[in-house]
Amino acid sequence: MQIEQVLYDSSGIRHNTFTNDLKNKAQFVLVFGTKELLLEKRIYDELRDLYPSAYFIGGTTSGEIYKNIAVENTLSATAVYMEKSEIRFACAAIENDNCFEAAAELATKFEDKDLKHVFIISEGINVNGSEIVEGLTKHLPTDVTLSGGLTGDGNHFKETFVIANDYPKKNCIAAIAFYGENLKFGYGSMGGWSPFGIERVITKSKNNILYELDGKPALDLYKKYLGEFSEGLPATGLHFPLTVRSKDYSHTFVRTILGIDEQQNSLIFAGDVPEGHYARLMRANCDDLIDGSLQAAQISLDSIGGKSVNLAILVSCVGRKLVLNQMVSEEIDAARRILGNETIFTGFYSYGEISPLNRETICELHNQTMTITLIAEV
Amino acid sequence: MDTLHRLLKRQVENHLNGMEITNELKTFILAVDKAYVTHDQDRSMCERSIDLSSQEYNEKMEEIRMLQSQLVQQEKLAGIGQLSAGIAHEINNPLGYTLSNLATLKKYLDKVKAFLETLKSFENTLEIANDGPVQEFIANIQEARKINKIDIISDDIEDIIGESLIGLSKIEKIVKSLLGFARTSISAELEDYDLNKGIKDTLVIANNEIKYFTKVVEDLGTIPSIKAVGGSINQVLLNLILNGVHAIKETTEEGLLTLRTFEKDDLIFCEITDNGIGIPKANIEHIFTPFFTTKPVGMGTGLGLSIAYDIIVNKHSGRIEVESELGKGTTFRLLLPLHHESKV
Repeated sequence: MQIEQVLYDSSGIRHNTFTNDLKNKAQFVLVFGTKELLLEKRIYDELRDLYPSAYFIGGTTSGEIYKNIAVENTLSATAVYMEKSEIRFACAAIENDNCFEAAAELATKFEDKDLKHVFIISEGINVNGSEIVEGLTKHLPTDVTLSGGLTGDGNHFKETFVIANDYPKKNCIAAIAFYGENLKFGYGSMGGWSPFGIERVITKSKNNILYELDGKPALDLYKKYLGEFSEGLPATGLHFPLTVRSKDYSHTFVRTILGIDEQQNSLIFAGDVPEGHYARLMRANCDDLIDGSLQAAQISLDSIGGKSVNLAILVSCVGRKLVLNQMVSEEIDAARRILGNETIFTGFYSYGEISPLNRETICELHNQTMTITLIAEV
Repeated sequence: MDTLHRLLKRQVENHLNGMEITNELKTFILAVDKAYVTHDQDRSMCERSIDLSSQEYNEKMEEIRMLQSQLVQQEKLAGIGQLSAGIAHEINNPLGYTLSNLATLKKYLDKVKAFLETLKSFENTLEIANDGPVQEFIANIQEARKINKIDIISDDIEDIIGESLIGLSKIEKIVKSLLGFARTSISAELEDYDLNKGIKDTLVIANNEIKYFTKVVEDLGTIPSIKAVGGSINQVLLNLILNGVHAIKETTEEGLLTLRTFEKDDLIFCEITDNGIGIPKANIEHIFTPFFTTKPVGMGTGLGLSIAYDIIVNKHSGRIEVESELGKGTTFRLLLPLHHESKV
């Protein structure tokens, strides 16, 4: 596997000088960038000139992960060429909020034979991430793994764009599929957040919209806890994600806020918040989050069998960036300590992470996690 | 630099006083300033979280304490119900054969009385004969009849048996009502429940409290059976009836307690209306709150209506409504759905 990376700074100027060895070889290019740069046609065209035959997949972010640091207001492109493996591309539009149908349509576009893994980038705001994962997992062969993330929009939660082998567009899911016997994948996802306070019953919700906890408006609860910072909602709501569990304890997951609706007094989450489930607020400190990143890296490395890894795609939640603040690169350092210096890092801060928690579990939508996909060609 | 965090401002003054602040140093100081501000914000949010969480924990603990008291009270009542049902069952058995024996005894008495009548008729026939020894024999019989008060006893024994049968029938009615009232306290399962019968059984149980103070009007309509925990609903009825009687006791008016049932819109209605003192408006919203009572210390737990609310609203998906006017009286209205899922 051969990889080369370029970075555009906040002024849209390309930083690295390189020989563009993969110009006609790169099979796919992962493009993650701030909205201002990603929407700049000039940059897309320049990248297209650099890799004319590669599939482009990526989107807007809430921060970029490039080499050993977390940055913001940049755009990174990671071009990959796999000597022994085949890459295919597909995309689907999300129409009338039908996320499940769009994901199902996307899955059926890939031939099953020799398919190993699918990596997706999805719309990040007008979306129910749970339905996307469900639509894909129900229509992909059971031995095919899935990972990816929802695009971001800084702390603004206004609009996100996806690169689906073309100029960026909204309400879209893009995917690349990996085919071949020589491919190895590893996955790990970990949060580092701790539940606190009383457990509440979700007494009114519809899909990913939460109206009431314990019979009281959920938005009021968040405003009460945030105090003067409630003016910054939905971004400041990231300080208090929800851990949600089913009544019989068989399902537990974390949900983070994507938006609020003052008129309905409701909160819009990245995935389902089913009625009748129990929820608790969560909090984190920097050390726990950095440790979570370290554990995610260790789990992903264990799941690939501890072999040397060519590429690590790190998808981390915007909520972690908000809490870690100036220490945000510490979580990249933590992953680097486990994965070693040979592995190329790329990734972004997202509105939702998609991956199995480890090799034994099924793929799910996560929030507030560091989610790592490792790719090796042997 | 003037807007720096106050601690950082002081530190810059103390440690960098007189030093040239280069652009690099300024960038560094601003980064430190951002960290200070973020830290303060985090601490403020954390402190608020701790305060709110503690407050919510205390509220939950109070709720748990109240629920625990309700549970204890319900357990106590269920225990009393179970005990009463056991005693009623024990009484029912000897009561059955005593009633049966008395009925047989009454039949035997009729035969003995018929025999005595025959004997008397012989006496009257022989009394007119002139045979000396026969006359003496008849006199001895009449003397023995008089000394032993056979005629009086013969009349009295019939009254005694009749009154005993009436008394035992009353006992039988009370025992059967007690069994009807308490039998379902043992089970918490939903069963076919006849609300009108529940009201009648409960009125018998409460009769001693009612009879000296109020007239009872039963306006019970034709209503279908519903799925309910009968023992629990009876407990609610008893509570509301006794509350009504207590309200009446505090007035000088002639007491009137009206119980009305009817069916409307897939709901069974049960209205219990008294012409007692009424509930002040300020108290209405608190009456279903656990431990709220206006009765003197030791006279009421303040749990009766909160338990009633739990049974009707939470356990039977029903509603309780209350209308009251000071000096005029109060109506409690129970609305029970004809069909509902078990929550018991």
